[in-house]
Amino acid sequence: MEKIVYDNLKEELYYEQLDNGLNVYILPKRGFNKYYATFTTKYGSIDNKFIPIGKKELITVPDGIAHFLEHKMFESEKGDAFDKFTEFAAKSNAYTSFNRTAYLFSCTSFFEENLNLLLDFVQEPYFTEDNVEKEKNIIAQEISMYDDNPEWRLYFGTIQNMFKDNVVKVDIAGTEESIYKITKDLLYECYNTFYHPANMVLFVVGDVDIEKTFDLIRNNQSKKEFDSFTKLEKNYVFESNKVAKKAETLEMDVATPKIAVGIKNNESRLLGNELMKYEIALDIIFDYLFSNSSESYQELLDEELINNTFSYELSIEYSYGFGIISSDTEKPEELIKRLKEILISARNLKISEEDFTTIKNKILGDSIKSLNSPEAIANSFTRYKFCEMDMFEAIKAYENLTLEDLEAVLPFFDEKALTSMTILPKNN
Amino acid sequence: MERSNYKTNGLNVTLIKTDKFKTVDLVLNFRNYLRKETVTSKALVPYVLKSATEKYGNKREINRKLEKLYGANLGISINKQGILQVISFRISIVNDIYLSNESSLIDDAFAFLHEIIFNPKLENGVFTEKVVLEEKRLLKDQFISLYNDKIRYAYNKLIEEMCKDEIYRFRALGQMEDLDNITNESLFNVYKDLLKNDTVDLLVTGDIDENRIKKLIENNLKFEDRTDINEVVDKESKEISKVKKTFEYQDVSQAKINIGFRTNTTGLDKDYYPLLLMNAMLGVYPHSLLFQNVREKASLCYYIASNIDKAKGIMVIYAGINKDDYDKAHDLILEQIRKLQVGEIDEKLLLNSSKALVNDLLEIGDNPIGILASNYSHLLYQEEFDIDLITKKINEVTKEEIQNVAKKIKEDTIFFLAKEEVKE
Repeated sequence: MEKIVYDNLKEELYYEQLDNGLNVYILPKRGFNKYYATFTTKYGSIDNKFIPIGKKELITVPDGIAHFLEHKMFESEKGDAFDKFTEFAAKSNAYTSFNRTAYLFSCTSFFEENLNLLLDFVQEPYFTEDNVEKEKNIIAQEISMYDDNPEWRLYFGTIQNMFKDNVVKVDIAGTEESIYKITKDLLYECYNTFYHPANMVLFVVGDVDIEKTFDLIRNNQSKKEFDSFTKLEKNYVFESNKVAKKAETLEMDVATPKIAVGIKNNESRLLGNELMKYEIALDIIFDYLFSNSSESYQELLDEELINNTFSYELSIEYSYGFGIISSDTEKPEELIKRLKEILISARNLKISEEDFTTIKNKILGDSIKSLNSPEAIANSFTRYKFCEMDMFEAIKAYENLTLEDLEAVLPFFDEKALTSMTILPKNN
Repeated sequence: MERSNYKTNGLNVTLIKTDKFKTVDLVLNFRNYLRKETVTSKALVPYVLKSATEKYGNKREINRKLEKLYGANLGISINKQGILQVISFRISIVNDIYLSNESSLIDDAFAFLHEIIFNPKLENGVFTEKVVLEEKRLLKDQFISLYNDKIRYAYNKLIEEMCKDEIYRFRALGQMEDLDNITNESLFNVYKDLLKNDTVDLLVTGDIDENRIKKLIENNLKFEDRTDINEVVDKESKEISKVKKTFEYQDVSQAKINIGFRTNTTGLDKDYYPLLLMNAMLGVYPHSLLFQNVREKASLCYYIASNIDKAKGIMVIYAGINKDDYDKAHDLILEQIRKLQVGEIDEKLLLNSSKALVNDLLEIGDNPIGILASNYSHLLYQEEFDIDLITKKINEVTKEEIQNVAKKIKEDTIFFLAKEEVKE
């Protein structure tokens, strides 16, 4: 067991990699009532083409299967994992993103029981033809709910415009057609490949006894057998920053037009410290360009081009990356034009030392604030870890960033990387 | 965690001292009766205050100031609590003990709050034209965009239909129609009235001592003395002769069924805790009856939940379904309530629900915003947010009490949103 101290933040982190390859982290939070744990596999909706464990041929599985698997994990031969968490007064949940699937619980009592339960239910799959069929209607309703959600459609429409072959453009839940192709055997194939402990991270936060908790985890894991882990063969698709489609429009039953401008990252092959530096630099530039203290924000507001729905986000991961800026607007074409201009001219950006320091301080403050939240710590740490980065190092990296580091990422702002998505009210 | 309460400078202060958090969090709440004449103006006031002050002339300058305070957040919210409209200003700031070269961040935050509340940018003695126009436009957009969120839209429509003749029909934000008649002068008068007459509560949590807070209040938050409002529950109700059904057609892929009930029980009643537990058994958790039977067993939906409003005595059940399953879903939902009404109460379900409620309660204690919100919502009933006491009350609820409180529940209104039938 290793202990890492982050003095300035008054936090400590304990780490151990178990014999079966599982990475375990414990962050004590003294005085907290709540225990929170996430058990995450590095497997998400983009992993639809891979060589199954023990086999040689690349296979392609139906879209939405990682998410479907997440729903079905909660069932076991002995009953529903939700029910057991309920008996131990815990709340449990799970989510699937493009590149991760996380299972989690929070509780204020029966911590040890709940932690064992989390490890057990995720490591004991139980899929039957019957229970797989039954889930299809529920997931079809989930997809249907998102179909009516204009923000979701706008977001995915923008990603679809950007990418040609990368599976990131497919909805995480799949489609009504694709989920009906999912079978119990396919679920087992995905499960066996991606749920190996060596492909997973366990993160525990709370007022716990460190030694006892590690013992519990070691004991739990030593009772189970796993095949030896071989490196996963996934076929990542690295695309250039040229967008697949420059623009797209969709009509929905909405009251006001909505637009998004997307900017696509080139290649997205970075990992570790290189990725960290790149991401942080872009993060600062995006804040400078679009935050509510930016010049552009005030101008767009004054010109009545945006309202309180204006937002921006940046997502740089291994094999895909993009920024998306969106808003409701009465003047969709004009706003798209303005946002594109801002992004293109950012290529020649000059930020003053003073502004740079202010933004760095703000981000430092945000990072410290996020340490209030066990959920934020566990989820964010795991995300960083899967990209071979350390969340706490990232906080320091912000402080050490220079103006030259910012300049180095300016090629991101490239005209051929831009696309726009518009949702217009349907005329009835 | 230590709590202290006192009254000073026309405001009620609650300090919850704890070293669990890396931030200092505070909320300044203004409450008064929700009045149909001023509901929209009042909702607009905090937006205007957060847009421009004497010292910080526009949003950009205000937000730059917040950035300089290590990314402090200033949040505003407008809520309805029974008969009251509540305007809140919330600040979350890094505790300066975590910053090596800062020691007066919290003082700066209080000074900033003072500037926002007391020094709005004025022209000719009232709010500036430009700011008011802009905030009216933005609020109008908020009203319009409700239509885009079908889940929330259907929920709000249900309340409007169900409480058509009651003050409760108004949303906390008011209504779009009022915006055109609001002028700089009328809005400024509403603001003045809020400062003078609303009951003001300041709640603070974090690692900060009482004397420092006292001094900061003395320097920054002075209000005239006033008489506090001590009621919250909305007692207006109606006789239900027949369940009212409203269907609306839009081009949606998923239909939304929303059912409103009168619980005939409020936060003032002895059987409030039985109601809280009954609702938990019915539709709050994955183990609750609705989720288990309507989703897991019948596969009719992805989301389904029930909500109670203790300040009004109503309950709403809402779900997204296939439009052809309307009758099936409606019957199945009502069947779950009937089970509780006839006393078909599973021991394990009851136990699990009380454990889940207690767990939620304890988790609130780990979240500064949760602590502030829970303390405030209890304060409205002149109660203390005492986790041990509430736990005791939850654990004492009996099966009979649950059955009795369930029997008081009456179906009132259904709102159903679906894609129009194609007639051939």
